This record gives sequence, structure tokens and C-alpha cells, in this order.
Amino acid sequence: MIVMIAAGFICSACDSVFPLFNRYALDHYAAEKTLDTLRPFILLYVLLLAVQVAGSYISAILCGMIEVSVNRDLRNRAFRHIQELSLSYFNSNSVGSIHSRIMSDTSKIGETVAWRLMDIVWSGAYLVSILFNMLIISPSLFAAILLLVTAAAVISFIFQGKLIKINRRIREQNSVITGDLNEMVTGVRTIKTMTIEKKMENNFFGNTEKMRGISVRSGRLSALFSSTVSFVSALALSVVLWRGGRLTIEKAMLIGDLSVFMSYALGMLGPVQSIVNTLSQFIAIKANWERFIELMRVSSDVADKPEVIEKYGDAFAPKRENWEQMCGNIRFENVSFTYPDGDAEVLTDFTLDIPKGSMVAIVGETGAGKSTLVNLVCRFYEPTKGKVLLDGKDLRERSVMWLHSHIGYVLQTPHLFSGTIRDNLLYGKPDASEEEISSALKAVHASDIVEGLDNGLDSVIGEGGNSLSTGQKQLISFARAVLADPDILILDEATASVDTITEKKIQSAIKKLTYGRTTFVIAHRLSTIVEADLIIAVNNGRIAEQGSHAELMMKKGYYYSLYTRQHEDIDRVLKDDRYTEEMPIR
Amino acid sequence: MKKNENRPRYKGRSSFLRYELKGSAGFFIATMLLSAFAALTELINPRIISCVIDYVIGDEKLPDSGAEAAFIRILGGRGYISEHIFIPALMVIGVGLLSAAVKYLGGAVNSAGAERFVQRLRNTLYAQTVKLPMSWHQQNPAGNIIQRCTSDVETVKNFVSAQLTSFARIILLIALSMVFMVKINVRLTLIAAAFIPIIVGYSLFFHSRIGKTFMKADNEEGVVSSIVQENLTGIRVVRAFGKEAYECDRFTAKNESYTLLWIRIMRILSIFWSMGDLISGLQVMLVVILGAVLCVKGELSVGNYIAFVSYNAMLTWPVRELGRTIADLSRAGVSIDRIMFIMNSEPEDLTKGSSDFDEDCDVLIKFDKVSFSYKDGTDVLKDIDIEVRKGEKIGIIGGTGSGKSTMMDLLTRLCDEDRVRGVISFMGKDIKEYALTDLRRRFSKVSQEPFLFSGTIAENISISADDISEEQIMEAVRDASLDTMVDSFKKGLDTYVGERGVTLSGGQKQRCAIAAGLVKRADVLILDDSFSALDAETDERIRKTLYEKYSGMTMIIIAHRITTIAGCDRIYVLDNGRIADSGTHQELIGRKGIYKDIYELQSGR
Repeated sequence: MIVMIAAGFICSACDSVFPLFNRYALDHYAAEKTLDTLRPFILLYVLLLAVQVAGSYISAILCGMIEVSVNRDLRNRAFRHIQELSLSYFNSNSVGSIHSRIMSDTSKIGETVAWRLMDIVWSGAYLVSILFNMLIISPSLFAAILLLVTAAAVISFIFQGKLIKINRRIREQNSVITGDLNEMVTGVRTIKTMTIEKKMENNFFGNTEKMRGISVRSGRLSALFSSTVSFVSALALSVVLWRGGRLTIEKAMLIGDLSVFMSYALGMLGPVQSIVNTLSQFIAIKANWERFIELMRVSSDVADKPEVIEKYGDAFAPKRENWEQMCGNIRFENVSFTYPDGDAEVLTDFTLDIPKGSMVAIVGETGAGKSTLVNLVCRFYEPTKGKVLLDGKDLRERSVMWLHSHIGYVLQTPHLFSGTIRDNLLYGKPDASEEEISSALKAVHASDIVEGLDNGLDSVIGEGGNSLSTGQKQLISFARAVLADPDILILDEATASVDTITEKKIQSAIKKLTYGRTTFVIAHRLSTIVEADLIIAVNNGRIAEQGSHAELMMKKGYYYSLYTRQHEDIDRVLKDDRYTEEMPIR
Repeated sequence: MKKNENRPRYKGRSSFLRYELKGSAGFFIATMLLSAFAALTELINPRIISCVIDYVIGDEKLPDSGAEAAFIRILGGRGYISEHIFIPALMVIGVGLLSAAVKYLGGAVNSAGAERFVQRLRNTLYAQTVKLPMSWHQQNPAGNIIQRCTSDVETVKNFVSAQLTSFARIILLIALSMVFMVKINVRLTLIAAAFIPIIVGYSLFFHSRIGKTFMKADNEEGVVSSIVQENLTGIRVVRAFGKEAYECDRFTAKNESYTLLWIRIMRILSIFWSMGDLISGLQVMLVVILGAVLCVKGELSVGNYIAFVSYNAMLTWPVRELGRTIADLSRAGVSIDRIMFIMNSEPEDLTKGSSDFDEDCDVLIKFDKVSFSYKDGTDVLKDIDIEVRKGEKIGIIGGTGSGKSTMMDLLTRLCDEDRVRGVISFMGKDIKEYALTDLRRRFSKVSQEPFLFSGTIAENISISADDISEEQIMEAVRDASLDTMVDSFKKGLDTYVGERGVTLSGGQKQRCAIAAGLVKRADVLILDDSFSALDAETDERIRKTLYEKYSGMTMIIIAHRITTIAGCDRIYVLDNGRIADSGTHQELIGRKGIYKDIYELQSGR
């Protein structure tokens, strides 16, 4: 950094000295008609040129290095930080906004820090040395020029502020347009079936019209800016010609000095503009910086305590040698829980024992809060009161990493990574053998999917696994969890998008798969969970009932109504009134 | 943009530019003229100043004729001017003002032209892309299309508005400076000009070389960015498998290789810049020294020497820019080609065909021995025969990939029609005879993974109907069992959804789409597995509403759950692209077959 500043300084100092050479050439050779010192003159000139070129090379390359390393380090740190944040952060912040903090804010910061700083050093040094030279040549002219420079700086500052504002609006409008295009391309099927091509077109045309309005205004503004600056430079020339001309005629100044002054007066406006520009850039990136810092300051709600990290290591340097075997006995002890972004308590003084190897089903309507218990077991959240014990020990006394390495989680909305099927399957167990892979696929009846693909296990499945159907993705992610051989298995609507016949086949496999593991099943379709050891019915975010299928059916409560409603649906549909008499059209 | 403008197929880049430049070409020509004029005015001030320094302040001998002599004479002679030196000073200001005004005008006109151009380009591109057939969209990845519509458009815009005009301007500026320089001293001009091909060639060589590395770096950045994207969307999976360290390593490695690429670029750039500095520095030095030598020899006046040096300085930047501009030209050519690919693809003709529908026809839809394949050899649908009468509720059930959705795509002519064998008719006429828009208006389709546009819930629901009251929207919301969800939002129907709004769950999206489908009031409502993410109770509620309130509406319901379609007038069972069975629920469970198997599995019997 210091070297860079020094190099920049030398460079611009050299820049400002070149006009002095011209002056010397003019005053000494041209005016006095002699070439006596030509050789040392050339030598010095070349030397200076070499120094300047070297300086500009060094400062440019250093700037580049600083930019890319700042960029890299900020991104690495942000990415690492993200890995440690609790899930509640991701629920309240959109992927897009976090993504732009990691990618675009950092690059903006890197660029500004390196190049803008360089600009300021360069222009500042150039300006100072020019002003200094001018002051020596003629103080009175210097004062006049200084006035003009100040005026130029003020004008630039005002323009820059406006330009930044209007350019921000352009960017916003641009992202609207990109969003429109994105929507058109990804939603083209819907547009066609809804026959709203014209409507979408008109909407888009409206947005491009708006874009044109703003852009033209911005174009005019910057045209006005640059012409104002060029006018100010004409003013400067005029002042030098007038005052300097007078002085020269009165023999108070040499012709060479006058010409030097001319070139200074012209050369000064560039650096002034650049300094002003840099200042406003710094103001503009303050927002990026704040957004980035805000991200880095967020701390995880579920961070491990120092003594836990001491023993178990953290996510990046786990001390596996200290990790205990997991058994799988879970106990909720007087647990109360409120979601960080909610105000209603969803669990109150809840106590439950789940012995190793048992299967717990959680049922209820969409959005009833079925995932809460699972979220607590996985320590995605921590209870507000009470504790969750695993094998008799509070979850907080052991590391999150240890816990997660023993849990298999199959989500309703499966997430696959881009890459091959094999990459995805090996995600939880990188060293699995071919046999293990194929038996995991067989266990969840996903072998057919893999065989149907052109390259089998090595087929590339695209971003987010998008070349597969939702049902297929569910099966692959199921196989991935099975392959990892976890002690606790969580199936969150794991087969909701799979067709009935395949689902039935998996049902029988699940019994085998869950043997010896503590399993949580979240399900809509109750026929899939009747055999669970314990059924927890959730209603309106709270636990309504718990017990085995038989117990709950005896009770004739919430579960009973859920079950009978679903189960007798088919028969009821047929008895429905509509099939006995035609109803008139509304 | 004018409506129904007939756009020709572009034969080449020039015909593309000719068409797209309609309405903005005048602006660009004006810009070139104005910037040429501005360049001219910029050259006047050095002349005035050198003249004043030579003949007024200095004591060069004034020639008897020529511009300088006339200039001095008009202003009142040497003596008068040296007494009133503010006169040329004011002239400098005047010229500066003129130059500034012309510059402003040039900038304003240019941006007006550029924006007009880019607007026209974007609009034609959008109108074209939205009309391209579904099969085209399936073949071309979304990201690719969007890139062509955004960054390639931007490149072409810069090419036309900035590079083309600045190219003209640079050439003119160089030519003018050269003319003035030649007038001052031919030999010195030749020496100064000798550097031009060197600098241009050098920067041309360099820019064409570095272009590839830039592209590579862009790709690398895309990779880094998609790792972040994937990590964020799959954060639960990362956590559940405890792969934080692995993810970090993966990211750091990619980030590192991206950084290394940039360091390489920076190295090349630094060398380029400093070498450029060196070459132009040498050129300036040569001019300064040789000029001084000529001065000493008496072949050059002091004023002319100053003027020459400043003209030469003026030359430096345009010449360095020239190489870059030329390199950019080739990049713009690539972008134009990429845009032309979209523009020259065959769009659907939405309006050609009949719009006479025989409203009294009792048989709405008829598939007559219809087969279809996406690729040669493998039929997705085989010999499909289906008949749907007005007001009927038709159920379709079948495993994943059995061709259910493809059937519906055929009906609304979303598939490649050359691959369809057999006849599909609607209201007694082959669907190919109808105008596309008119045909599609007759159907209201709700798909399994519905697409919501960014906008409010109300906007999404009323998207296909323009004049619709809040009342009607609310009715559809209630019919689609969406009312409790809407009530739970603070802003109700005006809640923003889609990309930058509230994220809805799969079930909520499906219900929104159902509401939108109901609002459309088409002849046929197609529910393509639109209930899959709903829980059984909601499924039942909506179904009941559909049967009771919309009983006169023809419906095709595709589903996995037996309960969803059990009440239909007729159910078709699809297996591997063939119709395996059809009949009412009662009939189908009365005989052995896939339907009965599914039924028994689902009802636990």
C-alpha cells in the first residue's frame, strides 16, 4: 500500500515536471537559439520518463493486486461467516440480498479502495506539485487560477452528487428491465397459456420508455457537466492569456513561463475532476460498506460456547477424535419456544421422551408448525426456555457440527447441487463405495431414475438439479441421506411429489431404513404414518395431541377428525350432492 | 414503436443495424457532425493563443498575408492588442462557450439517439422472444437468452452510440490536428505521425489478446457467484450434512482461481498502460526536442512551437483510444450475431387463422389417434383418443412421465406441431386452423409448478383479465381457498409476491394460480396437477367449490390423488403414453387395472 502510494506520488510528480522541460526547451533553446545543453537535457528527460513509466507500472499493478486481494479476502470471510450463521438469518433475509452482499458489495469496495485511492494520490500529488510550480512562477496568476479551480471543484461536486443519484435510478430501472426479461423467459409457458403476450409487451415497453426518460436525463446532465468543465478550462486559459500576457508584455514574466502556465491551467482540471469524482465515489460506497459490515456483524443465535469449541472444534477445524458416538435418545425437557421473528409462543413447557430407534410422526395442516420440533432437534433454533437433551446431555453442551454429522434430513423441497448425481449422493459421505451407492439408491427405489439417464450416476443434473422432476429430486435427496447412514433421520414430506405406486414401495423400505435410527416423519398423507410409535398432531402452531395411532383414534379428537376426513374422502366424494342433481351455472 | 411493423429477416449485420437504427440514425449523424464541430472549435483556441504570444506578446515578424495577419488586423493591430489584451482573452472565452455549447448539444443528442436505439432494440427483442415457440425456449437455456437481451444489447448500444461516434470523432480530430501541424511544419508532423500506426497497432494487438482473458474471468466470476447462490439456497442441506468446511474450501479454491486470473489481467494491463505511457512519452519528447532544434535553426517560430506541442499533446489520447475502439468493434460484431440469432428464429404467428368458434358444438375437444414425440423414435404419446363434451369434468391420472402434461401442451399448441400425428379438434375444427391467441384464450391452464409474476397478489390473479373488479378478485380468492392467507398478510391482496416480494409456499402458489385460472373465464379449465402441494382438506374444499359453483364449466383435472378426480364424469388412465383405461370412478374400481391398484394403495384397503 505504501509502495503503491509512493509510486503513485513519484509518477504524478514526474507528470507535473514534464511541462518544465518544455519550458526549458522553449526558454533556453528556442528563445536563446542555442543547443548547448541538449545532451544532458535528453538524458534527464529519458531518465524521468523511465522513472515515470516504472512508477506507473508499479502503482497500476499494486492497485490491481490490492483490488483483487481485498475482493478475495472480503468474499472469503463473508462466505465463511455465512456458514456459521443460524438459519433464522436465512429465513428473514432473501437469498438475493445476501448474495449481493457477498458478491457485488465486496467487489465495489475492493475497486474503490484500490483505484480511487490511487486516483486521489495521483491527482492530489499532481495538483499540489502543479500549484506549487505555479506559485513559484507567478503568485498573482496563481491566485486567479486557484479561484477557478475551486469553482471547478464545487461545480464538479454538485454534478457528481446528481449523477450518482440519477445513475442509481438507472441501475434500479435496469434491474426492473432485467427482471422483466427474466420473468418473460422463465415464465414464457404461463404467458402463452394465459395469452398475455400483448400485456407483457406493453408493460415492458412502458419500462423501457421509463428507462429512456431517465437515461436521457442522465446523458444531458453529464453532457452539461463535461461542457461546463471545458468552459471553465477555457476561462482558465483566457485568464492566463490576459493576466499573463500583460505581465509578459511588461517583462515581468518570461514567454516560456507563460506557456508552462498555459499547460498547467489546462492540465489541472482533469485531476480536480478526478478528486471530486473519487470523493463522491467514497460517499457512494459507504452504503456498500455498511451493508457488508452489517452482514459480518450478525452473529449466530446458536453459536457454540467457547468451551464446547475447545473440545469439539469448530466447523472448519473439527476435533473428531473427541466426538462421542451418538445413541439417539432425545428428550425435550420443559421446553418453551418462540420463533425469533414471531411473538406467539409455539411450545410451552413441553416435555417428551423419544427413545432410541423410535419413529415419531408429526401431522397437521399446511402451515400448522410441524417443523418446529425438528428445528429444535437439529438445533437450527434453540429453545427459549428449558432444554433439548440428546443421550442425556443438553444439545448446547456439544457442538453443532457433531450433532449435524449424525443427522440425515430429507426436505420437502429437495435441494440438489449442480454437478453429477454421484457428486450429490456423495455429499454426505465422500468415501462411499459403488456398492453402498447402489444399495442406497435401491432402498429408496431411485435406481430407475439413474438408469434412465444417459450417463447414469455421472449425468450432470444442472443448476439446482433442474433437469430432474420434483419427485425424482426427492428420491435422490432421500438416497443421499440414507447413504450418510445417520443416527437420527428426519423425513420432512420426503415423498410428497412422488407418485403413489413408488411412494408405496418406499413406505415398505422406510421400515427397514429406519430400523435402529430415531426417526421423525412429517407427513400430509396420514396413511403413511399409522405405524409410527408416536404421533404428534399439531394445530395452529401448537401441539394438540400425542400418542399412538390407536390411542389417538380412541380419543376421537383432532387427529381422529383429520384421519377420518382424509380416509373417507373418496367415499364421501361419491355421495356428494352434485352427482345426484345438476346445478345451474352460477 | 409502431404496431404490426413487419420486420425483415436479417441477412447480415448491416441489415440488422439498418433496421434497428430506424428512428435513431439521424441522432447519431447529428452527433458525429456536432462532435466534429466541437473538435474544430477546440482547435481554435490554441491558434488564437499562439498567434497572440508570437505577434503581440513576443516580437515575431508578422507575415504580410495569412490567417494570423488578418486576425491581428481585424482586432486593430499589434499595438492596439497589446494595450487591450483582454480582447483576445474574451475571444478565448467566447470560443470556449461555443465549444461547450456544441459539446453539450452533441452529448444530449447522442444520448437521445442512444436511448431511442436501445429502446427499439430491447422492444423488438422482447416482442420477438415472447412470440418464439415453446420448443425454442426449451432448447435455449434461460440464462443464455437473458444474457443476449441484456449484456449483448448493452454492447451493441455502446458500439453504436459511443464507439462508432467516437471513432468518427477520433479520426476527424487526428486529421484536423495533422492538418494544422502540417501547416506549421511538415517534417515535424511526419515524425509525430510516425508514432500513430505504432500506438494503434500496439493497442489493437493488446486489446484483442486480452479480450479472451476477460471473457474467461467473467465465466470464473459466474462460477464463484453460482457457488454462493447454491450455498445460500441449499443452506439447510449444507448444515444438515455438516459440510460447512467443505463448502468453504470449495468456495475459497474457486475464489482463488478467479483472483489469479484477475492478477494475470492486471499484470497484462499494467504492462500495457506503462508501455503506452512510454511510447507516447517518447513521442512527446521527440517532438519537444526536435521542435526546439528546429526553433534554433530558425525553421519554427516560438509561437508555432508552442502550438505544435499542444496539438501533439491533443493527438496522444485519441490515438491510444483508436486501437481500443477498433478492438471493441469486433466484440460488438459477436454481440450483434448473438442477437440476430434470436431475431431470425421463426416466431409463432399469434393472429393468423380462424377466430370463428362454433359455440353450439357439443363436443369441445377431440383427440383422434394422436401421437407425439419430442425426439425421433420415442413416442411420448401413442394413439390417444379422447372426447370431451361441454360441461364435462374429465380426470386424468398416470405415473410420472406418462405424458399427461404433454397432452395438455398439445391441446394449447405449445409443442412442436410438426411432430404431432393425428388430429386434435376443438369445437369441431382442427386446432391448427384457429389463430393461436384465440385458441389459447379458450383455455385456462393451471400448472403444477405455477409461475407468479413479481407484482401484487391481486395483479397476479387478474393477469389475464383487464377489467376486473376487486369484488371478482375476492370471489376467486375465496373459491381458491386463498382468503385466510390473504387475510394473514398486512397488505392483503396488495401484498407483493414474486422475485422481490413475499415468498409463497408451493401450496400457496398453486392456490394463487387456481384463482387466476378461475378469473380467466375460459371455456375449458385445465388443472395440471394443481392440487399436489395442498393438504387434503384444502384440496377437498376447492374441489367442492369447483364442482358446485362452476358446474357448467368444462374441466380437465390431472392428479395423483384418487380423491381429486374420483368425482369426474370420466377418468382417463394414462400409462407410458397410452390410454390404458377410461371410465367413471365406479367403473374403474370395478375392474382390475392400474387405477384400482392406486385406489387401493391410497385408501389403505
